[in-house]
Amino acid sequence: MALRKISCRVNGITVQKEIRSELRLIDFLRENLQLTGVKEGCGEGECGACTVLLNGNPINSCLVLAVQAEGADILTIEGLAAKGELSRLQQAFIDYGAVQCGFCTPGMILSAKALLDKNPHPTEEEIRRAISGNLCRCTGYQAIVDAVQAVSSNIPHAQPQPLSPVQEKDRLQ
Amino acid sequence: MDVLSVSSMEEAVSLLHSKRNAAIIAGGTDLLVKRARNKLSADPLIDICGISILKGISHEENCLRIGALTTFAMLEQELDAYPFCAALKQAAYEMGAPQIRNRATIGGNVVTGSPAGDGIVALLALDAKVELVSESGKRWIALCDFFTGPGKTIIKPDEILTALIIPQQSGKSCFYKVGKRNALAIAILSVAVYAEIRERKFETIRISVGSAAPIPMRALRTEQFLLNHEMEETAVHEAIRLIRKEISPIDDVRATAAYRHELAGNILQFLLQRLGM
Ligand SMILES: Cc1cc2nc3c(=O)[nH]c(=O)nc-3n(C[C@H](O)[C@H](O)[C@H](O)COP(=O)(O)OP(=O)(O)OC[C@H]3O[C@@H](n4cnc5c(N)ncnc54)[C@H](O)[C@@H]3O)c2cc1C
Ligand code: FES
Ligand code: FES
Repeated sequence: MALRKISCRVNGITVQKEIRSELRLIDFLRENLQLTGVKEGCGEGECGACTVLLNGNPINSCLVLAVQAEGADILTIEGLAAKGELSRLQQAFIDYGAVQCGFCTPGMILSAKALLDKNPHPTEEEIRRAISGNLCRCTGYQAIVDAVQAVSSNIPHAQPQPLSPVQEKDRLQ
Repeated sequence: MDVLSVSSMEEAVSLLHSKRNAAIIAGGTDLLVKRARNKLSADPLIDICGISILKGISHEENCLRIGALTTFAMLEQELDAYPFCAALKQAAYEMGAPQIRNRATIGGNVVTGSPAGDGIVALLALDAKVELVSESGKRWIALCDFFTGPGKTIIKPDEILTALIIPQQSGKSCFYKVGKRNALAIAILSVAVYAEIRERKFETIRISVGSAAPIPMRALRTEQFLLNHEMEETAVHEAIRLIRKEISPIDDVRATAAYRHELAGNILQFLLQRLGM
């Protein structure tokens, strides 16, 4: 079994480990670092549940080898609320009902964050394109787009639109 | 499985030469899907992502050099400086999804050699050449001679694709892909066209088609017909008829051959009209 040393920064902390060289980045994050906010859906790049930011850019951690992240800066969902307080984007996802089963949420938020970091005031189309690699089976996407839009608007604390009765029912179920 | 990371061409070339069962990994978006399906037997993998001279686009004498490790995200951002490459920019824009474009390289796209490869189809219309390097030296080959079958190319096991080379040109190009949806869609059919039109005549024309044959193909007979023809309705209609005859698509899970025949003509018409404007 081939072992290799890897050193990278994960959520701002320098990590050094000896790992099996064929390990995928997702396995390294989940199994070696217990960052289980990184989800595995398809394992083939189709669903985006495993999205993390690699040097600020969203990638599918199921399609990257851990050793390919040598020296890189990695951000997982755990890094967004590092001090125990949710980021504005995370809070907006809750306020707008953009989280249902939650499986897509970590990846979805990271894709949205990567967009907002580069383009703080995206159009709806730009938001939809930025999350086009993240599948959500629950929300129908509109609530997600609304949440991202709320954060991107200049209003410091965007007020969520009241949920429609159907959304409210979905949310409570 | 062992993974060896290299940072120079010398290292990469000599490792590939000495390790018989090795394979290159670049962005990994094809290779690691293959592995997930237990269809990868190569060992070790040689990770070439650290070879920085293979990254990015540079302008050389009379040509554009696109390093093999240039990602689709980079193509999308950096090709604005070369308007004649609009087809490649559009292909990059429509390829995969952000997470894929941030990793997937143009070199990997070409070596995978899928008949649906979006980068390949655009590069074929732009008359690209492939640069291959091994211990025994360097060679160049026209991209249209690179593919031999579905997923099969003439690259030798000890060769590295180092760059795609596109001649500087004065015309215009465009690309259109039909897929099941806008993101993460393998082409049902795609067409790229490069043309130089003077006084409404096609002085140069190249047409390439994806998902239309066992390999990504040039529609040579359709090109031949259009060359020196005036850009008018009857010529366009004849071109539509010819391209439908020239391709040999199959029925598969994404679409029927009949639908692909229909699409090829319709997309060609759309692109020719766009270039004519
Ligand atoms: C979810 C998903 C969506 C996709 N969507 C599209 C799409 O819309 N359009 C499209 O065209 N493709 C698509 N692809 C396919 C894939 O992303 C592309 O073909 C990509 O360009 C491959 O590049 P890579 O760097 O990831 O290659 P890798 O997976 O690293 O390598 C691919 C193959 O090429 C070889 N190789 C790579 N680089 C070199 C080199 N420099 N020299 C010699 N050999 C080399 C490898 O050994 C391997 O056999 C998609 C893939 C996924 C998973
Ligand atoms: S688990 Fe990585 S994209 Fe689905
Ligand atoms: S909330 Fe369930 S998949 Fe998105």
